[in-house]
Amino acid sequence: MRELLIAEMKGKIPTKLQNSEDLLTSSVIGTFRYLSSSTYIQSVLESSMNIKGRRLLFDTPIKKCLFEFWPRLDDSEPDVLLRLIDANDHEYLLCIEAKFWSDKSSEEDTTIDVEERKNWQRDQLAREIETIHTVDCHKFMKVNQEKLKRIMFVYLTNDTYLHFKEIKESISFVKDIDFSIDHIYWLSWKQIFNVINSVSHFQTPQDAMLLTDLGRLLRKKGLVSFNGFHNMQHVYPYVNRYQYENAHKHYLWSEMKAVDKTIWSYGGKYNG
Amino acid sequence: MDDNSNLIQSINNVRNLIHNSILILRDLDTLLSKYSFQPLNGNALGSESSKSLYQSMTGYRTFLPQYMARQYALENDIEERKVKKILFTNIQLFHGYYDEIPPVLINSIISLPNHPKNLKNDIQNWWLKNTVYEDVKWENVKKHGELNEHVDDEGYKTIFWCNDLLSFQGQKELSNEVEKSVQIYNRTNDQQV
Repeated sequence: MRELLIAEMKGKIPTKLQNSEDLLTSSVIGTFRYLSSSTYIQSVLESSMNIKGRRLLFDTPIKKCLFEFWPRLDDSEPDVLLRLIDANDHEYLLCIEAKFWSDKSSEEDTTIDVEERKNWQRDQLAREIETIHTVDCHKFMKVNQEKLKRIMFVYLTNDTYLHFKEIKESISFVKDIDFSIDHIYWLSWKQIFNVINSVSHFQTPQDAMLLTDLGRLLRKKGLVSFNGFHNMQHVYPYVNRYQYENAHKHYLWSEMKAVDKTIWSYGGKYNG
Repeated sequence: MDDNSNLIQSINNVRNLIHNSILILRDLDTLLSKYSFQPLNGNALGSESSKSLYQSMTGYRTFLPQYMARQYALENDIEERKVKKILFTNIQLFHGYYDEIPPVLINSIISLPNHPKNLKNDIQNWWLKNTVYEDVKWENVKKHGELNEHVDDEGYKTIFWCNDLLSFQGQKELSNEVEKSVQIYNRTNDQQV
């Protein structure tokens, strides 16, 4: 996993793959699979929110998290399925649909009778929400039905804001199951960076190494949040030496006049 | 340090200033989503710039844009076409009338006299900078987050406050700023609509 992160950071991945959401999903979410504790993925998931502005919260710490990437299920292939088990032994089934630059892979084709619609004519999120409620999916994830507390859906995107309309639209096309819109959450890639950035204590040196590399990858891809003007790494030497106030005084045009004008004059001999 | 180094440094400082300003605006989007606010112009930054040879340093439109503006309304109000007030944010880098003003983050609540027929066309990106720098004028503006109020001839009421851009150092300050905006928005709602 770490080698893949380094290859991406160092630009050793073919250009056509650099904007791949599958690769990003694998690199980012995949990293959490190899960490020593589920608290990291719990923190990431808990930074997502639903359309009412409520955070996704678990009642108790997550002690175990099982990851399945692109499971081939009957009607869909979600990006990531997570089976989470908390300290009280309650289970949660959570689906992550990740987007980078693209939108939903399919939208509901309402021109076709609802019973006649093929998978590719269905709203992608609605289809996946239905899938994670099926017995087959639960069997695949070895969910203990008696301990299953909640099923949730996380829409992971590169958006800066929550697309309320899109979420409402998807939930309106979910059929045959009772699924509250409150259980659809939105998460932005940059919030994963925030979570990593806020970790004050890594549980193992390996966790520190993997998450530091992951943070670098997210930074390289621009999937970051504002972290103060002092953190502009490329200009550290400049910012440290010149505060903006000083810089401004320094660059007054009156100062610039001290530069030999003739060197800068346009027009050569025609300029006298 | 020679003149080239000075210029390179100046340009890089401006590039980083703009980059960080954009990060701030992205984060404001995310933080405001929590309170059901939706930007009126999607991913677009509101600004004015000029590619004309006839521009002047003191004009409103200069090659380097003077501000980045974003406007928001409640998602339900947009859906039901009943927007009566907006949350208007502006990062003002400079202004043609003034030689030495600090880059600032200006937040405001603008109460509209009427429901706009077309939100994108009727709400102009220059509104807030016009109020702050041209109507009220920077020297009369209460700074450091103090509230200012201005009502123009057409009945647009603007409550705004300014903070130096460099006073924002991370998520905490932005989060506080958003909470302040929402509180003032709700308060304005009670009084005005």
